[in-house]
This record gives sequence, structure tokens and C-alpha cells, in this order.
Amino acid sequence: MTENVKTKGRGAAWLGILTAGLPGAILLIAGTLLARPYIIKAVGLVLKTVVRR
Amino acid sequence: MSKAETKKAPGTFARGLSWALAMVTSLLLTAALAGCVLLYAIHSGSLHEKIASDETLLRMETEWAGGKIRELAEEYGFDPSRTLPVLDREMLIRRNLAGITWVAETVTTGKPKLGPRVDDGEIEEMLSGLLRFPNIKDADEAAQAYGDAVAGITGIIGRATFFFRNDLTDLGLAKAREYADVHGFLNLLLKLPVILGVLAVVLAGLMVLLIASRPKEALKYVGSALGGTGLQAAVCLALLRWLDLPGIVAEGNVRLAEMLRAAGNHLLLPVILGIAALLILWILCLTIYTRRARRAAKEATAKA
Repeated sequence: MTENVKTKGRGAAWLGILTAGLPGAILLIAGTLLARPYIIKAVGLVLKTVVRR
Repeated sequence: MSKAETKKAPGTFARGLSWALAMVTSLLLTAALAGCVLLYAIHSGSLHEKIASDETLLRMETEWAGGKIRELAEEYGFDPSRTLPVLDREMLIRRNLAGITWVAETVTTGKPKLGPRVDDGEIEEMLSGLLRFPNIKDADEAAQAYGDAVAGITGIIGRATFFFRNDLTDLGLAKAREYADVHGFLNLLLKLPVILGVLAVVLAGLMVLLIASRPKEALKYVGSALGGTGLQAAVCLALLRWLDLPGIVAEGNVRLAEMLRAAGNHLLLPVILGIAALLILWILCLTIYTRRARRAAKEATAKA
């Protein structure tokens, strides 16, 4: 019984971090993948405007 | 199942809502953590000093300015090897620091700053002992060449250590301040990590309230939110490395890119320690929760 609860606890720990963290992580990865070309363009524009070579 | 036991167990709705709150809390905490790193980068004087005295940055600045001074020497006919000691390491560090302080102050106040606070007099003083024009015999011409060369070298050193067109940023800021409360907006933006952190604490409190009958079970959700934040922060770190912002900036200015790279390298350890702390908190919360569950199971076995 104790062993069962132990396993359940460990399982809950992994399930917990995945449930709480994975959706946000996927969101972050998808957002970065989608935004990358725009980030590069925006940084390029700022560099052209306010940064000296 | 007895009435007391039914009252004790949190319902499916409370559990579901707690998981949803854990997801939102982890996202809020990740944003707060990212904001804290940014605030630390803006306000930390020791970090600014470390970036300003980065060896690779100083070498790049010396090489770039040295090349430009050699070009200037060809134009005006002075000996570049005699003049190059003007690129004093300590002076470059002071100018780098002044540039970083200018960026930090502009970002925090939103006020035009008219460039970094640097002392051009020290360059003129150093050059008075180094700059000679052996090929120019006429005193007036030599004085004219000397003045032009000093102005040129001062400009080169300025551009080697400071990369922004502050005339443009100052103009832009002055215009923006006519239409919007830039200072108020920046003030709010800089307080955002604290606001997000407070919101996360409120949500964690809500999770504890939802599982009010078994406070220690709420640790499962709070711990998961902390662990989730660690996971998301690690993902953010990996994404930033993959994005390679210094690499993108290098196309515009390699010295600014090196400055960013140095900042990233110096921020890496505190960020990794923060992620480790979150994961340790996750394990701690889950350990307390599991022990409680184990004890409850033992009690149930003993009763049976």
C-alpha cells in the first residue's frame, strides 16, 4: 500500500508539472516559432534606425 | 462513504479549477520571472560593470577604433603607432559603463538624455602628448590638423563604445512625450513583474481555498505551478538561445552584439539558479503532499 502511494505521489509530481507547465511551454514554443520572422524584422528595423554600424 | 469523508474530499470541479489555476499561475510566474531578469539587467550596477569590462568587447573596441585611427592617420599624416595608446583600457571601460548607464536611465525614465556622460577632455589630454605632425611645417596648418585629428579620434572612440544615435532617440522620446505619458507607461511596465508576482500569489491562495478541507493537498497544485514555472523558464531560456538575438544584432553592430552576448552570459547563472530553486520548491511541495498521502494510507490500513 505504501509503495503504491509512493508511486502515485511520484506520478502525481510528474503529472502535475506537465499539467501546469506543458500547455504554457507549448504556447511559448509555438509563439516563438510564429513570431521569429517578425522579431528578426523588428530588431533589424531598430538597428537600422537607432544603431550606428 | 460517510458524510464527513464526503465533506473532506475536494470535488471534481475544485480539482479541475485548481489545475486550471495552476496553469495560469505558472504562466504568470514565468512572465514575472522574465520581467525580474530584465529589471535586474536594467538596475544592477555590478552587472553593468561586468559587461563594460568584458575582455572580448574591449578587444573588439580596441581593434575597431585602432583601424579607424590608422585610416585617420593616413589622411592627416600622423604616426598611428604613437597615437594608439590613447585607447586606454580603463577609459574604454568608463565609456562602456557610461553608455550602459545611458541606456538604463533612458529605459527607466523615458527622458531624452543627450548622450552618455563622458569626459572628452581626458582623450584630448592624452593626445596632447601623443599626437605629432612631423610632415607639416606650417604652424597654422599643424594646429588645424591637430584640432581635426583630435576631433576625429574623439569621435572614433565615442562610436567604438557607444552605438546609439542618441540624437534620433532623444528626438523620438521628446515627440512621444508630447502625445503620451511615457514616464508613467515605463513606470507601470517596470512594476509589471511585481504585479504579476502578486497575482500569482493570489491565485495560489485561491487554490488553497478551493482545496480548503485538505490544505496539504493544495500543495500538489501550488507545487505543480512552481514546477511548471521552472519548466517554462527552462523552455524560455532554450528558446532565447535558439533565437540568438546577439547573432541578429551582429548584422547591425558587432560590438553591441558582443555587449548583449556578455549580458546573456552573466545573466545565465542567476537564471539557472532561479529555475533550480523553482524545481526544488516543486519537489519539496510534492514530497510534503506525498508524505501526507502515505500517512493517510497507513492510517486507513491500521483502521482496517
